[in-house]
Amino acid sequence: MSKYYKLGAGTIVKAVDKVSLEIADGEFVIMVGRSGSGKTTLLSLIGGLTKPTSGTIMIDGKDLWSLDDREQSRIRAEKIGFIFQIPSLITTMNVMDNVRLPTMFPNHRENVGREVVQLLELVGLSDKVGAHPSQLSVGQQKRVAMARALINHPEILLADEPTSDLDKATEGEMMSLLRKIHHGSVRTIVMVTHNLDLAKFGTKVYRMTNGLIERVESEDLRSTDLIGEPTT
Amino acid sequence: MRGTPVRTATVVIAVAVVVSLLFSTNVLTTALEHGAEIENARLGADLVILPPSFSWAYSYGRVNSSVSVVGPTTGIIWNGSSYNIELTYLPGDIVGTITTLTGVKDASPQLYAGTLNDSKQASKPLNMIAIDPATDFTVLSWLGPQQNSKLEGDQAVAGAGTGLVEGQELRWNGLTLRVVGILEPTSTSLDEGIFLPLGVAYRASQAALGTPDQFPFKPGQITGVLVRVEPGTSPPVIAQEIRPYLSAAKVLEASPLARTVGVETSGVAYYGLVVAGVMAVAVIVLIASVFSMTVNERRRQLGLFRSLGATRLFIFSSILEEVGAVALVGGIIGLGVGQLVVYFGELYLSAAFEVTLLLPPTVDLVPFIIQSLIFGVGIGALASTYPAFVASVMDPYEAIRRGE
Repeated sequence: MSKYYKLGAGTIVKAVDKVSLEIADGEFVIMVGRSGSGKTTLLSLIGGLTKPTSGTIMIDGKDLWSLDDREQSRIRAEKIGFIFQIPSLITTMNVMDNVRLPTMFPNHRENVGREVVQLLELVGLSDKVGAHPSQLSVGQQKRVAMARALINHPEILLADEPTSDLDKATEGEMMSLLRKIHHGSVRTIVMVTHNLDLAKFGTKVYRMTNGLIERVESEDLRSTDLIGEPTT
Repeated sequence: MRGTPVRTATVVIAVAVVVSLLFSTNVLTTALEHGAEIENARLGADLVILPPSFSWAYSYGRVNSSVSVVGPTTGIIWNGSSYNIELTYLPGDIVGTITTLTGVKDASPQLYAGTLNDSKQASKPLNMIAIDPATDFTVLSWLGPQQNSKLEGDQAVAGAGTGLVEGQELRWNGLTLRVVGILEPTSTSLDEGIFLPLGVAYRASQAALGTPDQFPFKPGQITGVLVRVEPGTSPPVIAQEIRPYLSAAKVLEASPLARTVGVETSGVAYYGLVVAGVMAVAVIVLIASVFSMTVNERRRQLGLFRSLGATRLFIFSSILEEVGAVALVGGIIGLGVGQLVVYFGELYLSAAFEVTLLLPPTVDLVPFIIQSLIFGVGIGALASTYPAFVASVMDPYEAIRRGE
């Protein structure tokens, strides 16, 4: 699949260029690459958040973009959990409401308070149920976002730079959580990072460069892999 | 629109203004039309058809007539004035003929039945005028709003100057009539009349055959026909149309004075609704702009919702619901403001038009209230359709990125 952007005057940016990737059930895939290499775009394509310029995205044997909006939304709500790099909590909602937000879609689930609390216990924030995002640290916000991603029991977790802006200790906590989750309810994790040290957590590692992808072994990665001109 | 109180207030005020304008225009127009209808009915007829022996000796008009002749030989009450005619009659079936003419709104017969000249019952001679309660539009309209405007059986209504009271029984030429209503003062000869149903007069006439001095007319005869033309129709034109049918009758025309009330009333309604319409368009543009800004600012949030599983329909309907709720608040406030406009508008219009405004009873305001609220919420929904559509079709990934 490919994802191209037109920037006017005939300039086309190939954010993802003819990538063919198969992720099996139970894998923990790590994608590394420098900023602008197309990692986040690829993750969004996998999650059905953007339509590919060409190619198909198959989930459980179904072509995601051949489905209608309702079915696509159902897959996003029930099969996939997202953790975004950007702060993605709704600032006007408290932690409880942020975590249970996905249960509104597509079929409203009620009485999820106990589940929310359990998830907050899992991410170590059970004492922050009533707090608002502005009262949380960046690391805590990321953990709330993780709890939110898990509330609908997704089979696939897509995590975009979940450890960015975190100190080493918090980064370690987050990775421990992801491993714990991977061995628990979530069977497949795709994580994007520019931190090469985290590649060792993956069962498969891919490196993206200028929209192209290649499989690498974590021990082969060097810091020079992240050096290069940004493409977008 | 949480967190944007100024914008929310702008939308609420905009909707409130339009709703108040629509509501007050509707209510005032109805009040004005109703009032004008009553006033117009009270002004009398546009045309009067009389027997050929009618003596053309009087100036006439719909209001402020200079006619002052009232007496035993008076034949017909027209525009509040009595006309002295010789006692000849017209056939009653001409009413049907006149009614069928294009441009004729109402036609009602009157019959001078005689005079009540009994000092025990009335301090002065009173004209006994028979009317057709079913078609009458000149006499019963002078009854007060609380009085039953139906006249049935041996009932009668009396002018304000007769000295009679409601419930009083009158005996006249073997008839017993019960006064069921007193007309409001007219300062015309209507005040000196007693009005009874035509059918009662005919039955009495039939029963009194052989005593023609009491009832000189025969059943089916009338003294004249009062005609009201359709709005926008010229009375002289209708008079011209009537004359060929009734060569043996005189057709008199009223002055065009009263027609202006109806015309100006419709003018007020027209301009009020045009202003409301123009403002509605402006408000639609305003709300669309406000919500386009809001959608733009909430791009990331909407993208996040989509990524969490919200459907396009959910995003679309959420925005419409939000606008609907804000517009509903605006509509409710608008109704309150509209009520104030109605209050002050009533004062102004009644002074400006010199007509009575009869506000609809509270229960009759319900359709106006519902209509205005639907209109307010409707323009909100219409205005937000485009921003809601744009929000619903946004690519979630692009929405999140551009919203950063």
